Amino acid sequence: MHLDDERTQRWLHAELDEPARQAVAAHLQACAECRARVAAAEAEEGWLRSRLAELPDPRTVSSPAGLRTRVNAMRRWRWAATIVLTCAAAGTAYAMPGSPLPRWVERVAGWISRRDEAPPPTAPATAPAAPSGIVLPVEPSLAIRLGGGAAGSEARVVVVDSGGITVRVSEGQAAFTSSAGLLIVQAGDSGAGLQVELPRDAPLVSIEAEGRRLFLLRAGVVESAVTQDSDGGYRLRFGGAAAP
Amino acid sequence: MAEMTGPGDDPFERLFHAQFPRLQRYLDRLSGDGELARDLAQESFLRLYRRSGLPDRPEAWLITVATNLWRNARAARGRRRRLLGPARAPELVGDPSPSPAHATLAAEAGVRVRAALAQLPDRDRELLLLLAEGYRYREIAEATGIAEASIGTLLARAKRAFRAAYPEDPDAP
Ligand SMILES: [Zn+2]
Repeated sequence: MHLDDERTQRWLHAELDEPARQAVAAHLQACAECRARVAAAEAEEGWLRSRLAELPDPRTVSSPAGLRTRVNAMRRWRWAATIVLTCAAAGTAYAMPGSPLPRWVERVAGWISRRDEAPPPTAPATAPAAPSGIVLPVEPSLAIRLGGGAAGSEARVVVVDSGGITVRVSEGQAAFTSSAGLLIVQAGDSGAGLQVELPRDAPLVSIEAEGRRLFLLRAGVVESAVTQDSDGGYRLRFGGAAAP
Repeated sequence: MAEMTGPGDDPFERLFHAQFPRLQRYLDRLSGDGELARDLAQESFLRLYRRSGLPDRPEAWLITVATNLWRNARAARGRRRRLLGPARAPELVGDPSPSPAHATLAAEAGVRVRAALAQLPDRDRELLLLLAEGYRYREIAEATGIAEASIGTLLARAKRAFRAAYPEDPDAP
């Protein structure tokens, strides 16, 4: 029995239970027609995903105007929305411990769960202090784009055995914006020192600055002209360059 | 895509950090309206706060609530706004300060995708955008109200519909 659309898609998306998966695998061994069908479906899926990836990510920076459109919310929910909105804006940079943000979110959550009429906690008047870093789960492919910063900004990369993809700010300031497959690190004007940890099992991570690739980790192997320092780190210079 | 780290994370906080961007992006692409998407994503989380505890599968719960909120919002707005209008102000597109040429190209590509999505039936659009965000069939079924057993078939159809709605593309398979 040849593969129908349902089983083809499930094969593609790993949505078959084990007996069905084995049956499909056995059939594919024997049937060239269905192998071709799966190959075509994979190509179609790849093309679709590339197209959808062309959609711009939502702007995570919020504006007060964002609140105007709420219509049906009760008064307190409008308040709450204000808070979460601000929080989502700050959420462009996912704070690590040490940032005031998580604590603030906690207070907001606490306020919402209490049913009193006290005014909500005041959101930080300005953007929360620059976070000390960001951690991303391992993705099939990630580009880290370094931008901004004075000449002499530096990212030190180490390959580690496990964990997520981590970028810490060790000196100066940097802002993070993340979306699928891309992490943008914008160093502050006075430059930044970054510590980057890449887990060995990340399939593909590239680090770029000013339109150039500085570093590539592919399947656990560093493909890069940068030599290691005595502690096993790779030092990448960026910042201060004229725009290409 | 990012998640908070550190000891003593509150489950709600973790959920917020892990799921909010994904939920907002899904709604943004579904509605073509960034402000509305943000509002609906917030509203979904607010309803989650209001519950006495987290549901068994919060991702599925959130995406179901969000999809329903979107359907209601759209019905309420009637024809006052277009779905997935291709125009998004260029200054809202893309990353901080890429080169202008890059930004323009990226914006044009996005416009074509938006236009193709806009031509699809609602269900197909929801299916494709949920798939793109990495939701599992079970979650997609819950959010869309479609029987889980036919998600694959309907996804295949939705993909074909998108392909047909998209302009000629030499890279297309
Ligand atoms: Zn066959």
